[in-house]
Amino acid sequence: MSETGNKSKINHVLIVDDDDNIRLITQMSLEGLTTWKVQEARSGKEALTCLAGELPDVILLDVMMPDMTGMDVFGQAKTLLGDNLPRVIFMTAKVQASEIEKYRALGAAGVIMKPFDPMKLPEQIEEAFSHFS
Amino acid sequence: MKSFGATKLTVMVGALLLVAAVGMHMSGKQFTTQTTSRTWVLHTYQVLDKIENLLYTLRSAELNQTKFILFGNDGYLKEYDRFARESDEQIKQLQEMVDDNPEQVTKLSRLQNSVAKMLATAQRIIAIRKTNGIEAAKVLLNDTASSDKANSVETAAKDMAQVEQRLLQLRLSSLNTNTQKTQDHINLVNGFFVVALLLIVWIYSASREKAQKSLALQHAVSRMLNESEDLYQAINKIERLIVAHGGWACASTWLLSDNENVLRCFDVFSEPWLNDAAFVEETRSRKFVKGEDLPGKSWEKQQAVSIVNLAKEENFPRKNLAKDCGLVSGFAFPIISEKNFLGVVELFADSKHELDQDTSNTFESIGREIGRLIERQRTQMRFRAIFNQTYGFIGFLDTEGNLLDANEPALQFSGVEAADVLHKPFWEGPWWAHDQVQKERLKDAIRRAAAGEFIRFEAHHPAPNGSSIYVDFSLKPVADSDGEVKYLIPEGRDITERKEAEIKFRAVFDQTFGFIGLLRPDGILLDSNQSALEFAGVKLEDVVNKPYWQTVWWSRDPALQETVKQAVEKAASGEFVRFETRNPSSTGEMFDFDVSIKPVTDPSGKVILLIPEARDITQTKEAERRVSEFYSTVSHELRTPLTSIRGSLGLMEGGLTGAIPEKTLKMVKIARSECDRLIRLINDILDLQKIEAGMIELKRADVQADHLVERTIDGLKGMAHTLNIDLIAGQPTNAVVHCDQDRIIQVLTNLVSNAIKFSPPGSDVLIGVKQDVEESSLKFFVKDNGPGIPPAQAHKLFARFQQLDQSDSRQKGGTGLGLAITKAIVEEHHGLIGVDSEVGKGSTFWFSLPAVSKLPAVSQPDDEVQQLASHIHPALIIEDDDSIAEVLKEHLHQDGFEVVRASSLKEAESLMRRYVPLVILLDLTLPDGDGLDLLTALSTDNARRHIPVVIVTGRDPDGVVKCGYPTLIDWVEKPIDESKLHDAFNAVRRKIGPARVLIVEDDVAAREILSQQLNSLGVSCLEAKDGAEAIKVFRHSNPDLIILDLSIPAPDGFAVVDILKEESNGDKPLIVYSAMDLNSDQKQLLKLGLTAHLTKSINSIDQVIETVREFLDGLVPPPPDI
Repeated sequence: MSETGNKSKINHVLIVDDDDNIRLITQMSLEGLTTWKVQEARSGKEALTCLAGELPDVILLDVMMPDMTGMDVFGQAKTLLGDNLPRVIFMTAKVQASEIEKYRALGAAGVIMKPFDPMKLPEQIEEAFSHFS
Repeated sequence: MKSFGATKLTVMVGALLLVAAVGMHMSGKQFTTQTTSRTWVLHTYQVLDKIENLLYTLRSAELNQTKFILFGNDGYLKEYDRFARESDEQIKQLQEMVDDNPEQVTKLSRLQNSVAKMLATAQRIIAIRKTNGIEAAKVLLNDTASSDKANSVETAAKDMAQVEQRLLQLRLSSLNTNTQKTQDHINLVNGFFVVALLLIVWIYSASREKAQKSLALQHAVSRMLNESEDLYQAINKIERLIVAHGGWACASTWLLSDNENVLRCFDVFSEPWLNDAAFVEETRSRKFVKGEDLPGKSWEKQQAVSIVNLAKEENFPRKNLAKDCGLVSGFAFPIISEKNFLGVVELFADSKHELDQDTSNTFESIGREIGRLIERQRTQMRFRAIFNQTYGFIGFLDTEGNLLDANEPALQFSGVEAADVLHKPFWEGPWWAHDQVQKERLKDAIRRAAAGEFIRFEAHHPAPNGSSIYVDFSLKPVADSDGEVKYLIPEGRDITERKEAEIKFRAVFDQTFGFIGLLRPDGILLDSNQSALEFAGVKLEDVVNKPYWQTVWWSRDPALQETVKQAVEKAASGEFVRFETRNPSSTGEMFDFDVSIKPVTDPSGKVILLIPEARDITQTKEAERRVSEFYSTVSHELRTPLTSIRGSLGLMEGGLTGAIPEKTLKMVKIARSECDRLIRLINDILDLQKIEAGMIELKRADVQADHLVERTIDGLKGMAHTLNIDLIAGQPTNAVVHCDQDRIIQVLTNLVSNAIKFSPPGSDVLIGVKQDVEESSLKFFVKDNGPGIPPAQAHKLFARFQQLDQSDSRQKGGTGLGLAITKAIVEEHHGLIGVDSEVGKGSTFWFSLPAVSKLPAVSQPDDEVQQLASHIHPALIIEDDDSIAEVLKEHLHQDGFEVVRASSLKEAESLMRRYVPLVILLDLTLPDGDGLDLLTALSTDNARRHIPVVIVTGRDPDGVVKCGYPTLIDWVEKPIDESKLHDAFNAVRRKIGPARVLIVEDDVAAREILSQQLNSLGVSCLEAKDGAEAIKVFRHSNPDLIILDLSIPAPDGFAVVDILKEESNGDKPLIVYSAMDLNSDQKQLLKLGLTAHLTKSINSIDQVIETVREFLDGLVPPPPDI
């Protein structure tokens, strides 16, 4: 297993969302409630650029984005990073709870439904992270 | 009828001539002159006799010809032939007799000519009788009768006879002259001779006259019978004839009355002087029983009887009346047909009439002919009645197609007279005049029918009123006993009413928007409407008479064919079947169909037809997809801004944006809480939409009902506690319910949370399950002590956005959709939902679900097996060295495996918690332990002990062998030998030896024999007694080969193969060993990997074993060498 994969603690989170407001709220929630380093990407493309640098422990990945969808980003990042791919948690406003299984089967660490409660967000991220480990 | 009288006559004449000849001889040579004269006289008599004989013969021939025409009896024909040949012989004899007389030779040749003509005509009529039947022949017969052909023979014969008579007179006078000149003794001899001659002449003339008379009478009767259509007319004429010819004064005919068993007078004919006699009057009104009076006597004896002296007769009630009018003697003969007594003809004479045997015979013969006439008349009458009264059109054709007869309805329909159409080709008749095509069709039909074929088609004919009728037309050949077609019977039934109804129905059927067909219960397509044919771009003949699932509508998709086939079978068992399909049209475009198959039963409940129906629901489906997409989009578009709103409010409320005044915080809290409600509302709307659109798939399983209750209570404990409500579970039931566990818990949660919300603090909510009496359903109930619901409102509860008091909604935080969703979920489970409530006494919400599934065992294997079967399992490489892992990965990829890699035991264990790998490639030396430890751990784990393992190691393999891991396939030493690795992979596909063979066979003995034989081969056997077990064992143990019987308890062999096809890449070696003879289609269906089809009655067990050996190839040892 890679070094990143073996980490049991979250230090670094990448938020990928095209909606500025949601990005801001997510960032505020995480920065306000945790000590994690929070990095932002406004599109899939930007996210992939980010992944070329220092790898985060978790990627919060919006599904419905223009140009590249969350799934596209996931696929390309997997190709790019292979086993070094950080945990990916999808964030989506589109699906129902029952469909979370599908994302899991594809290799996602978890799915967080929008709208989410910013006060509980770090908890949800940690749960997904540990579940996969 | 025989020439009885004539034969006797000839014998007599012959005897007398002999006497005469002796006399002549005795007279000596000195009387040569006289002798010569006498010889000439005798010769003349002989010629005369011959002529008479010839005439007699010809008349007999003619009589027999007539009889043959009338009755068609071959016996008459033979008689005719005999007489015709005899006449020929007689003419030849005459020629010899008169060749010295040129005048007679000429006359004879004229006679001969006439005879030839007469016989030729007779032959022609006979031929027509044979080919064209009685009616045609009768016409001709009457034609020739009226012509003078027959007379010309008589004339020619009389002409000849006159010449001979003249000669006779000359010769007799010459003989007399000579006689006077002779001596006394000679006179004596001559006198004797003359007397003999005169005697000859007398006897000859008398008996000749009698025979002639009798023959003429018979002939006349035959003709009469021939000519008269009407029975009364015929009998009357016969009576006249007999009276006129036989010197009788009165003739009466008595017929047996059908139901009284008495003879009644049918007709009386008498000489004019008797017309007014009381006797005749009395006769007309009398009836006699058997044995009574003259007719009764003839009836009793069934033969001719006579009363020579009426006055002395005791059994003669009309005695006095007869005496009054001077009648002296009586005679009666029976009318008999084929031994059936029909009546009597009685005759009276005013003189003594003694009757000899010959005359009696003649009259009896006449009686039989009358009998035949009556029988024929009656038969004809009955036939005519049927023929004319029948509702349909019937006719009678010769094999050429000429119309011999047509019944009244047929004639009336076209308004023609029989004469207009009879004896003309049928197709020229008015019925066919309107349509050339139909006319040709008829001609062809007549040709074929004449060759023996039964033809039937639908025709249409114009009616005189301008409309037209539809006729179900048939043409039936009628053959004689030799199988030769003699006549054709055309028949037409008016089916206009039916046809018109059919046309109307057909129009609806064909033009209706949906696709409709008609199947036999075995699935053969009988009919399809136009819409369906047009959709597929085919004609009816392309699809009709084929199994429905093999028709063009389904043929593009084998899976669909199977679905349809099963649906047909189900419908044939009386069930209504309905399903949705998606099929390509002829242009390749995809269409959605709502398909149903309805069984149609007869009154006894037997399925006689199936009606498949398909509705194009492509647009509906498309709309559904759009709606679904719309909901999905709306959901996204609504939730995105809500995420920001909810997030912002959450952050503010959580204090992450800094301290805010309390009043503001209160407002923020309200905004956040309402925002949450809005989100719930959106979720509920989407949920409800999905359930109602049937878009959620229920993940059904058998679940303990009590378990559902427990889980619901667990989930709501917190809420109940907060509101100070006690949740109490009802009595445990142990009942099992087949349902989607999560969804039912959702329903229960909804009902219980409602109950909590509406119950006063400190009260209880009871949650329980009840089984109904028949145990066919389970009733879940939630009982609260809330305010209760007025009955009038109860029904509103389950509708959308219906809260009884609008203020409630705000207070209790509901969306107004909870119960609607609940109801939708219950109904999706085919359950019922309701509420029993009384205001002030609380409410009990309940729903019921069907108790336990009746699905076959196959569809619900135990959890473990299902898990194994329903996931895709990649190969797992456990290897710490990256480069070796890469090489292994490459090889596995080449062999078609998906690959997951773990670089440590711990990682492998973690992976295996989520995946069951198809195969494990295991390195023994790993950073965190020994690979053998993993093997040991796996072998004790039931779910994973079957996973094949290939060890890839640099270590000595000794330890590997010792660990006894059951599914260890091989070990491959490092550095890796590629071919060995591939061998190992191939072995993986077959799963490790000893090779395992699954025997699927319901017969214990057969299973045991196979098993024993295979064991001796070194193969381990798995056994299954039915299809369900076969699939279960297959999933568990993944055997190397399957020996499959087909007729096993459900699912049968075919179904098993179908299921295995999907589960095993379809490459498992298979030996079908069953008693069934399989056709090629079935063999195609019964195919997995290497497949052999063996038949129990043909192939021995040894052959099966040999095939097993062949299929398992290297996995079993080769047969021992002998």
